[in-house]
Amino acid sequence: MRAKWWGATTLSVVALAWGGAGYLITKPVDFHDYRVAAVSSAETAHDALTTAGLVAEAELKGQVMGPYAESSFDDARKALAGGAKKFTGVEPPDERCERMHDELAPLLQQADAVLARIPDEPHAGDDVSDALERFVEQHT
Amino acid sequence: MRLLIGFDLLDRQIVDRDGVPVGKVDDVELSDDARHVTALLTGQSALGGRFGGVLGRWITATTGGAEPRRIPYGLVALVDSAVHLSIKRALLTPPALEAWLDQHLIGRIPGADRAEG
Amino acid sequence: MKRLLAVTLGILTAIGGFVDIGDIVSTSEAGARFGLSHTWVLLVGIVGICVYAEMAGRVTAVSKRPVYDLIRERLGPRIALVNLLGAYAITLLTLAAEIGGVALALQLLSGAPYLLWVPAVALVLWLALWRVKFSTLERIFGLAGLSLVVLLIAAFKLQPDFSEMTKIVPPPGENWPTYFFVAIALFASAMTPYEVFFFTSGGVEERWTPRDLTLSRVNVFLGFPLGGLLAFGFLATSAAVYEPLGMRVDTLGQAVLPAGLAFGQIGLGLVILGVFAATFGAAMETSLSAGYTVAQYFGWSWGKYLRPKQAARFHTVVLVSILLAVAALLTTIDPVQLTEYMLIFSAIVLPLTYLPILVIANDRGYLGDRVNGRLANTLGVIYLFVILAAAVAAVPIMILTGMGG
Repeated sequence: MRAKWWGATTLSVVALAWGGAGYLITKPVDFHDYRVAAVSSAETAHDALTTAGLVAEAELKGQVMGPYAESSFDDARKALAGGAKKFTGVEPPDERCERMHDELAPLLQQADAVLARIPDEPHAGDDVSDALERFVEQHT
Repeated sequence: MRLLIGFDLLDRQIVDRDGVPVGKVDDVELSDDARHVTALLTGQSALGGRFGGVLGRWITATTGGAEPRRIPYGLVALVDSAVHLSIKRALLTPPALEAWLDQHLIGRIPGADRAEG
Repeated sequence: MKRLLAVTLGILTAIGGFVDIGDIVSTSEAGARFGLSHTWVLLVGIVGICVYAEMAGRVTAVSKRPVYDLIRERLGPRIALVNLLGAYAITLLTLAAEIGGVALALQLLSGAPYLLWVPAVALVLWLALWRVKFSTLERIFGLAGLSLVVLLIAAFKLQPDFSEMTKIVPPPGENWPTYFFVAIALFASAMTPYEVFFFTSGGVEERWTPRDLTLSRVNVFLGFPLGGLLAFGFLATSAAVYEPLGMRVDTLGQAVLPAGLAFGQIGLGLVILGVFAATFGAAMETSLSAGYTVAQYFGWSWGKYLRPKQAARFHTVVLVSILLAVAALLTTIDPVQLTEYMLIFSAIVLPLTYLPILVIANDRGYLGDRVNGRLANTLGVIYLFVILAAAVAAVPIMILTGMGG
């Protein structure tokens, strides 16, 4: 009898959990979701540019080792690409979101372009980085 | 010596005369009048028997169906934070799983027979 | 010198507990986002682990049994099995993260991708556990981990806003739920259960007797505050460098950079060496703990003082755990994220670990007249409530903040 109870309870908990997860996954994207995704991509891009700038400056001053700088730039590239992918993977659900998309998408492209220059010019990313920061402030 | 079986014996660690772990008191065997403990039973099959149900069968299955090891109560020298036996572990039959793993896996790796260092 | 070396068990345990890979990154993240306003959590955590590790060490020195061994006697085999499953799962996932952490440290030194290092690290780890004496391992990795002290010096050079240390509020722009989420993760990382299992099993391996009570206490009261201080080094340097820039920290490379900014390549090299030692130490701690918990639940022979043949089941569990950890890493799961989840889940199993220790430490059957005094009991009960509160709050806060987003 007790085993049956346990079985029933476990089964309903599992069913509820799966149902909840399923709802969250299939729920259509609304303005709020889109804003959260956009802001987090912008933050990721900002952090990647800032880190790369710090490392590049330190490398020019001889404060960090070559392999360390290489793998830090690599991390920054991966973070930027990952963030951008998360953002472009979501279709803007309405007009407001579309405006947000048109604002952020060029910034992410610029970020990608300047990141390649940062190892030689540590401050190459500063303008884009500031623009990203403004974007985050505006939309939170 | 008077002991509360549930509190003082069950689930307690059994060690040999050198303090090497032998097993847990997974169950006990009582005399016919149920007034004396005649032996300690150790091994996952004894533990699985106490659990009962599906879980118990799973635990029992980890031994590959071996019977629990029976340690006559006469071999117990002292019960404190552990149950101390008066003999060395090597004199008892080794647990089936331990013997199997020793023979087929651990014992085959170079250095298995050496103490640390 | 010999006396000095006798405290390496406590140092290694604490370093493995306080500055393992997940803690390094989450502590640095806390510093970057919240400045020094989480300093109080580190203090609460240090006192908590000291209170319980002292009890556990005393139980072990007097009864000559590691605490995990006694948990089943007090909780009964069923609840102890739940505890075992929880503790083993957390230990195993932490082990995977630590192996990943060692590999990440090697990537920072060599430039070669960390996944290439994973199998090599796992092999060296297993060989070390198979062949090298426990006390040697303890000394090498405990002492090498101390090179993280350079962070504390760096903190004074980089000058974070030390006035935030006395604040218990999130800085402007951050909200309370996220602040508490980070606080719970930091607290859980200070109190991770495998620390007491490892510490007391290590005490048994070193054959502590009631005469070693003082030794056990010195280990606790020196080792754990030291570990906490090193964690503070990450918090403070990251607060100094990253908080003014308004950015977050989520890689090991970012966490170690401040030392380079303060002391150049030597500083950076020392910190990476320290991270290597701390994560390798934590990998040893967790792989042995995985074996200890399973073996001690079932009563199997365990430990490095026996010949491996005499503890075949224990060594099998250790070997299989290392293999499972490598398999988990090779799915390319991010080792850093892995521990961040684990910290929150370990908050949930903490009560099942610490309640039995408090009960046993009051049992004259095990401890005679060495049972808890009034101070140990008062602190023990207070902390039990803190642990319970953290455990109850962990999951709701995790969902509310979307993993601290």
